[in-house]
Amino acid sequence: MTTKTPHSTPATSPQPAPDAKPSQNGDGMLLDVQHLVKHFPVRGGLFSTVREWVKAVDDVSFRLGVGKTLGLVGESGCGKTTVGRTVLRLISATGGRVLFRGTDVLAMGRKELLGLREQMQIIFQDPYGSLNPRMTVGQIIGEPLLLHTTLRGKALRDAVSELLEQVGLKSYMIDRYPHEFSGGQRQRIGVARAIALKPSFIVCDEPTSALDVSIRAQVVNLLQDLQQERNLSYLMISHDLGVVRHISDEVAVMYLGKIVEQAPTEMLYSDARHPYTEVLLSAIPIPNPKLRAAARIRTMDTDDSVPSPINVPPGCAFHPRCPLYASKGKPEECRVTPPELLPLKTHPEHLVRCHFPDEMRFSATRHTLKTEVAVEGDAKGSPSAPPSGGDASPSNPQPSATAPFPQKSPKSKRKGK
Amino acid sequence: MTKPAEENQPLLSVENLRTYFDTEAGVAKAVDGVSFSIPEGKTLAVVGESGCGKTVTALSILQLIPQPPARIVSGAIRFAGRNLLELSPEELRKIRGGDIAMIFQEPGTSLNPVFTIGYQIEEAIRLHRHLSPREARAEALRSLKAVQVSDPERRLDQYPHELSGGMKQRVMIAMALSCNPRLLIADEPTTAVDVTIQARILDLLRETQAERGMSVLMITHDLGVVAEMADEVAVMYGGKVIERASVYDLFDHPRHPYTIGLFASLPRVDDTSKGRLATIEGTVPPATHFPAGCRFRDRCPWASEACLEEPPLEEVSEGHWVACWNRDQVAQDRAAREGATANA
Repeated sequence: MTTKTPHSTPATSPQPAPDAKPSQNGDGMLLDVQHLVKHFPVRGGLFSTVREWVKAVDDVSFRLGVGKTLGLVGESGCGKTTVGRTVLRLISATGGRVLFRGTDVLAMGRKELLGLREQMQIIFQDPYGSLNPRMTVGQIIGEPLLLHTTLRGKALRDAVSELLEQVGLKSYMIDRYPHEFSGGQRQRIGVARAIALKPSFIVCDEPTSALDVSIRAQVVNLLQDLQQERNLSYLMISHDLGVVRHISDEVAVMYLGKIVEQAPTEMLYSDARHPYTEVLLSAIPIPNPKLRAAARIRTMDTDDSVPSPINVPPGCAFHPRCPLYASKGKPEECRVTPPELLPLKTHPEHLVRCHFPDEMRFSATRHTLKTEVAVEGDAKGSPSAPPSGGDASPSNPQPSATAPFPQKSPKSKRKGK
Repeated sequence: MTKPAEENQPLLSVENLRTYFDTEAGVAKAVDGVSFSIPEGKTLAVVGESGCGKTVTALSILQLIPQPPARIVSGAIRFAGRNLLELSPEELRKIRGGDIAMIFQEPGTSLNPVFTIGYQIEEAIRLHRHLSPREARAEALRSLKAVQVSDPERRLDQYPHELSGGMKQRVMIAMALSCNPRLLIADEPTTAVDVTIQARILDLLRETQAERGMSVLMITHDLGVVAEMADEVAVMYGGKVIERASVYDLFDHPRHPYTIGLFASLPRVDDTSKGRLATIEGTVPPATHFPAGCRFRDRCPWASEACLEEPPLEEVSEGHWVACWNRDQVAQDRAAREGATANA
């Protein structure tokens, strides 16, 4: 179980992109998730019969290289947490395969699975709920060591002390209880527990969401340091696109159980092609007051109620909220044909699930501009000339008469409903 | 005592407010000498981390904190010329929901689950505006339309559980606006909703404010929200305002070490660098155990002997107030560092 031997050489990506070269090419795949499906039954009625199915994860595929980080983003209910849990087999999958170093995690027997737990760990969002209040820090961090190793007594205690130091706590804190620690310190305890068995893969499920800004940075740095020291791979689940950008090599955006866009981090942030990604990026308040007037893209929602994964809209699941769909005059194919996750012709490592992947070209204007001059120009409403994201893909000629999608002009925007 | 030079009389001015809590661990000085003011039609954002006292400040204005354990020890809260701390409960009730309205972080828990949306909005309207039931209903409908709730007639007869989180927050806003408040206090209004919904709610608040010219006190921990919404910002730490400035001034030239640290530690969505994030070492001390003198000194890289004494909030340039003894050194170091990165 050495961390660095690649068991499966990067073959072609399974489903969506036959010719897509994974960005982690070269140092081998650690995790290869293929067509992962998880449906939850919704029961009701007299005999608790299954009424409906929640398609929490619906055909998700991705690969993760050794020492790399894949960011998984999306809003609540998109299924990102379920992906993380299913991959670890904390909950059983409905279908698909999760190859960890070439072995299917979902098909493993109990014994094998126990061995696998040493390799795959998780850090939870809530540092308050995820630590047993009746156990000391030493017991919490020592428990995995007790179960999986032969360390006992002083050796065990020493190992725990060392772990505490590694995550930036003090070894004299070993006999304290969780309530004696602040939120950030608790999250460090969660990290220490996760790395105790020297895993090669950690699912980080919103590890910073519950933390204050000044503490968040400490935890992000800790995760990055550990990754470098131990060549860890992370699946970084978060709705915080700032943290994800900072830490990820590649980012996948989920919407209603499906990945709608996946690309190397910088490509995604500078040249997003899926309208949902655009909406997400442009919704985040940027901590720069000079950017407040910059053009935004908003969803077309009329009442802030997002479709649930129980009743996924037909065709493209995003079409009822999609600004591009609206600005294109509601083309039929969006309503009828579910788009597939396909690589861009110009950038095969960039996968998009949209019928019109070449028409959403806006992110550059808001998210890569750093100079004030350009931004002010933008604010005055010249979105027609977005700086090209560096590639020479043919800009589509179609919606040239008006801006390709609704501008951030609140009045007109909402009347359109 | 630290009133900014404002041409027109501010709508709200909080002067030297102190709200303490008696706890088993001692007296928690949650708000300890906070002063700020909001001119008519403007937005002040109070920003800080959990436990800095920003919510207690907001609640103290309308005296919505249970007393005891809380005590408003001293200070004045002047709203349109009257000191709210001297009003009778009767008079105060008229102002709450009337001239000053408030929206909260959790729209789910702020609405009563056993009454319809319509009933709850109408109740507020009838209390403050003495309209007939029919007029109140029409008014409630109008207010729902104003916050762009879809299908408003049907919503009036729905119960809170039938609405999504974003919609509940809109209903809260509708309720708050139904009596044409002059000041809206928004306590983390978008923390519980997703970003796309947050964006639309902030849009709505901004539009409404522009239309009605009301003032907004925005309580938040999110510097992004501050940048989008605020005219002026007060940064709180350990129950005190440690820096106050116009939003542009603050984001361009933060002067207090804590503010500088906050900005530096943000992993930003518009940041392409992959390096280590700057951090503020340590954690926020509990309100019962603030260090004497400057409350940030344990975590401050610039801390010196002087910091054992409490720094006053002083005006360093027009409208920019900072509470730091070493502010000149801080500014110098910061300028030097910026110069260094610019050259690199």
